[in-house]
Amino acid sequence: MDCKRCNELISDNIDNKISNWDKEEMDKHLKSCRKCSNNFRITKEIVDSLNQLEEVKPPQDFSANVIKEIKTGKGNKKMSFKRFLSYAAVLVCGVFVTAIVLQWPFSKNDYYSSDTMAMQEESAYRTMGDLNGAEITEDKLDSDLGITDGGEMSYNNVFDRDKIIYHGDINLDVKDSEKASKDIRDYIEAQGGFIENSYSNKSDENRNEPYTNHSYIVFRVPASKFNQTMEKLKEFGEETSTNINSTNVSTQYRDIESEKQSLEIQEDRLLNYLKEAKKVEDMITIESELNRVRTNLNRLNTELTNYDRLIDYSNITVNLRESKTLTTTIKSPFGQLIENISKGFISSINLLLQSIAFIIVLTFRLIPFLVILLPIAWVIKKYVLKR
Amino acid sequence: MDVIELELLAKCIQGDLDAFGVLINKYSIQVYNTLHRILGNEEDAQDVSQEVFIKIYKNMHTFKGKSEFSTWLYRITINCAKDFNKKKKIDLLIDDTKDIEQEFSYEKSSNPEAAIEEVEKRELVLKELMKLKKNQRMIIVLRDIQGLSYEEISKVLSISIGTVKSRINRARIQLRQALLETPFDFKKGGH
Repeated sequence: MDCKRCNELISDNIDNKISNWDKEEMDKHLKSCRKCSNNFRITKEIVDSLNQLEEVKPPQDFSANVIKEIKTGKGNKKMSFKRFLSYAAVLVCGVFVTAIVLQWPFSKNDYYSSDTMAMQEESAYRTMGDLNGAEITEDKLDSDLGITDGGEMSYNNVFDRDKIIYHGDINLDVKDSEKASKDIRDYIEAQGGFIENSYSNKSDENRNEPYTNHSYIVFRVPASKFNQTMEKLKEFGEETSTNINSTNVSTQYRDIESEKQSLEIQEDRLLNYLKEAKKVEDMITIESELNRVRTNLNRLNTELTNYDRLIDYSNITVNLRESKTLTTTIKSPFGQLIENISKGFISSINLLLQSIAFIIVLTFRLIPFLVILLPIAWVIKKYVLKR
Repeated sequence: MDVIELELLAKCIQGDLDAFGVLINKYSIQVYNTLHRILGNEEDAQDVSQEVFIKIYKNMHTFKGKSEFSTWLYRITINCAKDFNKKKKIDLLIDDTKDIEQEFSYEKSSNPEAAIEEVEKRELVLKELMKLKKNQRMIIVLRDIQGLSYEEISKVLSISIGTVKSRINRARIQLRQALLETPFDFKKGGH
């Protein structure tokens, strides 16, 4: 037996896991080889020392502590919290890294944020009655048209600024509805507008209601003076609500115009035929055809004039409400308080929803990265951490 | 497994905490001792021992009685030690031998000179044991300190008996070589 084989068998020999034949061979070798016999002796000494080690005893209250721990379930929670923390940390890091890599999704370029921006703009102009709002609507209509018509027409053709019908609604609280309506009429006439419809209602003086008399006026002003008029109307009382909307009729207008042109050409031709016609029967046929074309032409002309009128003269409805307790003098802060609370609440909910949507989108965006990162993490876990 | 132990285990499975207390008292020395030798200090040994018994209590129902309870317990102990090491991410190279010194201090004062050498030797062996790789230390603790058979070790670590044999052999050679470099004179032969 050589030293190498002997070295391999030392451990087995100590534990009596050696065959009789090997044992005999080994004994022979140990007698002749000083190095191996030394190794054998030392190994045996080490094993003996380890066997004779004093037992270490757990503390007296160990069992009681474990039972207590089980009852409270504390030990378990501690671990799961730690685990949760590490997962949370990874998630937060992931979110930040992705946010940087993919750009922050709340930027203007993104899907939902641009929607909310538009919503905000719209609602801002509705509630505040800001006249710049009208321009925003125009832009919006403009872009809407741009989308529906596709790229067939150029930008300027799609949006014909002149073919827009404006309509405004304004509700006012006034001290004296009669005086206010008279002032408004005067102002409208001075602007070159005219009253289309007006109505006023006087209620019983003795009934003690916060709002008694009310009236409304529908009038038309030149489109060029629409914004100016809406602004001015607010000075006649305390504004409670304003609504401006606009309809773009450019497409319809253009269609009618082209139809009209083709009918005119048809009319010219029919007139020529009529001149050349020799037979009475032909003349009658042409005449009746000409009649049909002219009727249609007239109808189209009327439509166009109607549109022109609507476009040139914007429609404004003013509702006047006579209020005994007019709030121009003392302004209660609580009305706004509730409004502010609700605004804040809604905006928080929106933010929350956006965040949730963001996380969902992010999760799916991350999947391709995970495909690469997970095996790497697994390898790290397996080979680096285990060591 | 004797009848009394089977009854005890059955009660534990039903969630009887008193019975579990008895079980803890019966096996705590085994678990604590193993962990103390593997982890190298009292504090960690206590924490992980506690964890082991909580785990045992929660997973009691999965113990089918196919193997010895103590073997099953060793397996959980070893797994908890591995998890703990992973968490701590330290190689547990114990530099200070405070614990070991404390442990042997009373023997030094109360025994005659002949024993001092023996104590010194054990101290050194234990210190070098702590310097071994985790897997090697684990197998030495199970075999030479806890006195498990090769078959038991193979069940605890889920490795074949052949592997157990070769690992024990390698670990002992490693330990011997390490000890030969220490000032203690192993070479001088028998006393």
